[in-house]
Amino acid sequence: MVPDSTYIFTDPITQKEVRWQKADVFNPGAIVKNDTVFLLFRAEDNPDAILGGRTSRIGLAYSTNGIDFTKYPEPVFFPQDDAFKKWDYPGGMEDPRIVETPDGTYLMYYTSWNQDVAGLSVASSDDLKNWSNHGPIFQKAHDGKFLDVWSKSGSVVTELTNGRLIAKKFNGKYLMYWGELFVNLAESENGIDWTPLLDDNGELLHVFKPTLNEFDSHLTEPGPPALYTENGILLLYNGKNLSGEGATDQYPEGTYCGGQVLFDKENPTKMLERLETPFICPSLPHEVSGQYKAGTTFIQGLVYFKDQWFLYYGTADSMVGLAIKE
Amino acid sequence: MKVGFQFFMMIDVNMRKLIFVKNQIRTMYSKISLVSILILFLACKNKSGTTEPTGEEPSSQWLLGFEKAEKIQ
Repeated sequence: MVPDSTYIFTDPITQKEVRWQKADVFNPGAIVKNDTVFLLFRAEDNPDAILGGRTSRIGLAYSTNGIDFTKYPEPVFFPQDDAFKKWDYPGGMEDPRIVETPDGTYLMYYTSWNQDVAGLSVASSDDLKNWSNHGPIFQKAHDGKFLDVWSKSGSVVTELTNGRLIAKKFNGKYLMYWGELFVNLAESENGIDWTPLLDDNGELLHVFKPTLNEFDSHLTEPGPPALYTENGILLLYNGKNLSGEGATDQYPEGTYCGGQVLFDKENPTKMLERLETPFICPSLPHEVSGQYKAGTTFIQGLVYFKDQWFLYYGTADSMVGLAIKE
Repeated sequence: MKVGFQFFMMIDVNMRKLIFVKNQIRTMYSKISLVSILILFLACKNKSGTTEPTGEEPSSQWLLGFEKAEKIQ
């Protein structure tokens, strides 16, 4: 999937016509509904904007074969003049992950970017087209202690049920791996209001951390929704290589590759194993030549479709790529 | 023109990094005192804070078939 400057909509805040996917389309969430793959992708508007001047919006596309997608003409989720504008604007909504709950509700976890603090927010929908914004997920937790703490990339634990990935509850609560630098854990009864797990000192509990001199020496950032399996909870994540000291020379500095880590299904805070070699890395021209020139294969959307796993990823913060495995 | 655009994009990316670092520092200052920072510093000197590689080959059973991703071009 590539950007297309012919798509126009009227921005409700500025009341101006915007070519909402002129610059880049990337980092999509994915879900299967009615034997169709839907992508909710991040679209950036102005390729000439500088100093964070772009606004990200969420577009919707569908495909019956998982490869060829048709986009809806207008974004389905975008900053508005509402109570959430102070978090969502002007940077916009970024990097959505989608899960389906057992009652058929879709929850989208995205990054609110107001060009000051990035925050994990959530929206809900019954049809993937009309979304209700619920704002930051940590508003109510610990008396608001983590409301303005930098938070990104929420991967809710799901389970493959009748061919669909459904959010799974553990002792009555959903679980979410989240974070950017470290992987943290949070829990929720309703999927809207989340509480981060803390360590004995009252600080965020880090359940997984970067490994120096490896491909994920800088960042360990959750990818698509995590998967409950008989062997444990599998988290596909995005590992970023450091620049300079602590980096590995096996991969270019600053490169994002995809890794895998397994957690204990009886104790989701306990890491069991980590794949030492990334299973996906930038190699194709469009994966190293876009907006983020160090290269990314930023994994974010995972679906089980037609008896295969489809993994959608952002390429260099510019386009959408796909890897398929039986 | 293209070079200029790339230059500004580089500034854009770097500004995001700076904003991230700024907020990390601000969060730290709101939570811990200067004494705590000193203790943290001393602690960090003795602990890398990173996950130690196991040195073992991981089980292939949990790889979800993505031992090596096959990209669709």
